[in-house]
Amino acid sequence: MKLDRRGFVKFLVGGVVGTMLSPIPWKLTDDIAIWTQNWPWVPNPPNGANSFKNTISPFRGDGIGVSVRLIDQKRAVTLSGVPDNPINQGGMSCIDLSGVQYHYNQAVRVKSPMVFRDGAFHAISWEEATGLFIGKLKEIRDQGTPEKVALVDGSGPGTMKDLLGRFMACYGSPNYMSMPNASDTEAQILKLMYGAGGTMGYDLENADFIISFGCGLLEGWGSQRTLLAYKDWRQEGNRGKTTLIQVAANASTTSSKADQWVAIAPGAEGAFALGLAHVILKENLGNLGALTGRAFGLGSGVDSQAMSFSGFRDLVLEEYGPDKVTQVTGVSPEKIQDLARRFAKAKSPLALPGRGKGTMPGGLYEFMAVHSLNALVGAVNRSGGVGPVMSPPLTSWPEPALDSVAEKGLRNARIDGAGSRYPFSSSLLHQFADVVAEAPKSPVEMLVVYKSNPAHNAPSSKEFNRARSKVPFVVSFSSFWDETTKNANLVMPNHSFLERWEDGTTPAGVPFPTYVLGAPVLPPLFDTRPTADVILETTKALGGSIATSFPWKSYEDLLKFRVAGIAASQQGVVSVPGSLAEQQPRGFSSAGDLWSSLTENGCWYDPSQRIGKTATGFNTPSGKFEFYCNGISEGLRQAGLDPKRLNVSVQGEAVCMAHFEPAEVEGDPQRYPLLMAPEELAYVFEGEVPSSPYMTKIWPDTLLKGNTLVIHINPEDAHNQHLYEGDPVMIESLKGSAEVRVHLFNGVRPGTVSMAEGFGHTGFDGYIRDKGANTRDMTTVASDALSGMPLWWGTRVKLTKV
Amino acid sequence: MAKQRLVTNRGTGWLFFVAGLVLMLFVGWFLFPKALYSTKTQPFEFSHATHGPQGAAGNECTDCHAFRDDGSYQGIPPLSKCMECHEELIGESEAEREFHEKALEMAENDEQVPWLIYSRQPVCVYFSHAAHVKMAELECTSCHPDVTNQKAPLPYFQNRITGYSKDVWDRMKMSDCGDCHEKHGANNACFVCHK
Ligand code: SF4
Repeated sequence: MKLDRRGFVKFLVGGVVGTMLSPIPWKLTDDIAIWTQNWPWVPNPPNGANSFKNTISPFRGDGIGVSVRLIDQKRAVTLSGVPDNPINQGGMSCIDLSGVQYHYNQAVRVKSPMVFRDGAFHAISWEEATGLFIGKLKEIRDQGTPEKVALVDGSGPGTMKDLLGRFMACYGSPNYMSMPNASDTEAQILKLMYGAGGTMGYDLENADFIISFGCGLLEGWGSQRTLLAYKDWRQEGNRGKTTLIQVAANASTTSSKADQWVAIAPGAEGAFALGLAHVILKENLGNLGALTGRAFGLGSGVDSQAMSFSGFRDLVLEEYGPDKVTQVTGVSPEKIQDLARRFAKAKSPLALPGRGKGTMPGGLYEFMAVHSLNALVGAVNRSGGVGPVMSPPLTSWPEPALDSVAEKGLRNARIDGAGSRYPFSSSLLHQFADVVAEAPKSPVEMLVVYKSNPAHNAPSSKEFNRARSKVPFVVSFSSFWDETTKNANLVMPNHSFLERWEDGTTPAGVPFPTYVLGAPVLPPLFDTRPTADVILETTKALGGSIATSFPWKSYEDLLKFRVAGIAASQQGVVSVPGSLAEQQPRGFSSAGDLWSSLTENGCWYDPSQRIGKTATGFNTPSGKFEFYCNGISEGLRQAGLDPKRLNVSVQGEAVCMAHFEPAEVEGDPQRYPLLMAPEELAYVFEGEVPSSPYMTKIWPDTLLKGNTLVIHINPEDAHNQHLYEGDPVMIESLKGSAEVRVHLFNGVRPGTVSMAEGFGHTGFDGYIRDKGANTRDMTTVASDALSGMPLWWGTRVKLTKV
Repeated sequence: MAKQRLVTNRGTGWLFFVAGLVLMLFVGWFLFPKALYSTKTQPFEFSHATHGPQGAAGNECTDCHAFRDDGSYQGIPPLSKCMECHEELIGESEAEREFHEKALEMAENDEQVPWLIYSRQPVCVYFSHAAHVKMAELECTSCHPDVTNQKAPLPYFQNRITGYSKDVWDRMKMSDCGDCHEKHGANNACFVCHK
């Protein structure tokens, strides 16, 4: 018996059969499958005991209370909404829900102070970083030019915003800017029409007929309360309780979930509101009687500058008849009449101005039109209506000490023209960018950026980046490698939101004053420092009047000082577990009691100050609600501006009243036949940070296909251009272009293109980087006629097949 | 020539086949399982017999393998639990002295005893002890071996590929979960265990 070839084959076959009859292949297959579940690089959260700590989530700036689940008190796992916080009542948005990812993601966190030298970032110590920062500040101040320092602040309303503003003032620079927001326009309306400070509140819960002029109620407009109100309207048994009319150009989520969607021409919201006002005034509907003695400028009169006028009634009756409004808006006269009648007859009608999530400021006249409409139906300062909400009674800041350098610096006009060329605005980032980008030599020597990412989401990021590249020294306080930080000279990373103190005053739209406070939940993960403390340290080092204006040892100290004011006022209540469900909020006995309650549960509020509950007067020059704004004529006179030479389309008395300003969109309609409308979506976030990795999992193919953004166009336009579903196209505007794909959607108005915001990042990590295109790189930004606020709801574009 | 060779091997050729078969059966059933697992020992000599209800310490099982206040299950107790007794030296055995010293050191460094867990499941499995022990009232021994009288820990056979203990797949494999769920009419959908 010899092992020949044939014998060997037999041996092999035997071996194979034996192997198959043994556990080897089966066990191995199984084990390999199990091995894949257990790859060492797959994150494996440690097991341990759960505990919960309350704080606030700062991403959206709307003060929502979150409870952080911790494992063994040291590893944060999830955030969930605190049920007793009256702002979110347990609810939260996707970015809050997945916020922990921004705490732990090593790839996006800046782990230590960094300086950009010789073409690369180098880690440095805090001593060196603060030394550089303070040294530069001293140097600029010593030259007697403190106005050459500018700051961009993206924080929501709260102590940090005030602190940075105060720091800039004491240093001597007027150039403090915030990221633009619809609440900036609301602040102007409050001042001009209501004569009030604080914030604008909308009592959505008690309204029964709501006309939203483009507000993305379901996309994230206002605070989390908006969604809760919507939930309540649609609750079983509440059918017909509240009617929602969405007036918008596109079929957004809100449009599709409203009782009626009025598809109007983009940019015509103001005309539509005035069309409704026309019907109400003509047919004598509404609650005009309630206005007797409480409104100024509805009929004829004389303003505070001794100019006589014939008033809002005449203006509207003359100029905004349904036929004319139909021409501008594309909505039939019957529809306008019907809607106006239903609106005026409702018990608690309420009109809401704004677009998308409310991150885009509105036209001042457009907002005035909507507020005038509210006044006509008696919605002002009424339950279920609209009105100013007083700021929480925090201890007011002591008068800042200003030395001669500061006083001289503050006498300079702001670079962005706010307060001078645009007397009604307080900050205009896009104007700043334009001026700096165009100047032969940058008027700014140092640009400081806090909690914002203007290099990606300034109204016109291209302009901002041009300006930024001219500024010799850019300082970022960001915790993340965002686009602005990647281009900074010095980075002094802030603690993450789970590591620092944070507070917030009444968010946009909430109808009563609130104050939220979040204490650190975890020790710092990296070599970071809270920006507030760095600023306080800087004031000490700068010395003199700057140091005396900031007597607080730490930010915690400052917050205690502020909160003491609420304690002293003895107003309001604090949320405690069960307080909302049982409707039994708790008072507080002392400053210490209030402080510990706030750090544990996070929220103070004052339901007794809810809109309609307190008798609120109007602190306008006339002491009334002003259809005709004395403030406008006064403001223009004080600034030495001739109304005739303004960019306003009307003359005479109409300058001081709501009227329709036709949209001025840059670009030749022949060359750029379509209008691109940036779209803000509920499940895409854009702010200090972009969407989190978890959020990318819920994006449909009609939003992002592979790494290409999908824009939505009307099938009619597609047909005209021979485009089919999924076709790759180049979208191009005056400012920029990007390759995208098309999705054919009847919900997009013919002639318009809907393009999602929040994409095209080049910073952060692979979850978001290089995905889609950034609308802001493409938008042409218009300046609102009177306020100068940036408007970018429409950009002329063309599509070319690639 | 070719015909000649064919004739030669006819009748005995199957022996090669059998040799291959037997060899691989031996490798597969005997050598492979040995090679697949490495044997590890627990970091300390722990006796359930001593600690348990019939032992000197006389604990109930649930004294150490407890549910937390929030209803989650603790599994292997943390070092702090051991330290409740072993912070002081108990008795004179060498093993105790070794544990006592090391335990003090670990507590100092905020470390835990690196116990090897026979029943560790993959992270993709969501398992609730509360649902099974409290709600379905299963005995611990329905899934875990009874260790009341175990004097020393069993050797831990670690699968070289998966990293898991050999014992976890004895009666804690997905099919075991599924069978039991089916028998008791419990939900057997994927998402019940794989969240
Ligand atoms: S949807 Fe979930 S439960 Fe259903 S088959 Fe898929 S994984 Fe399983």
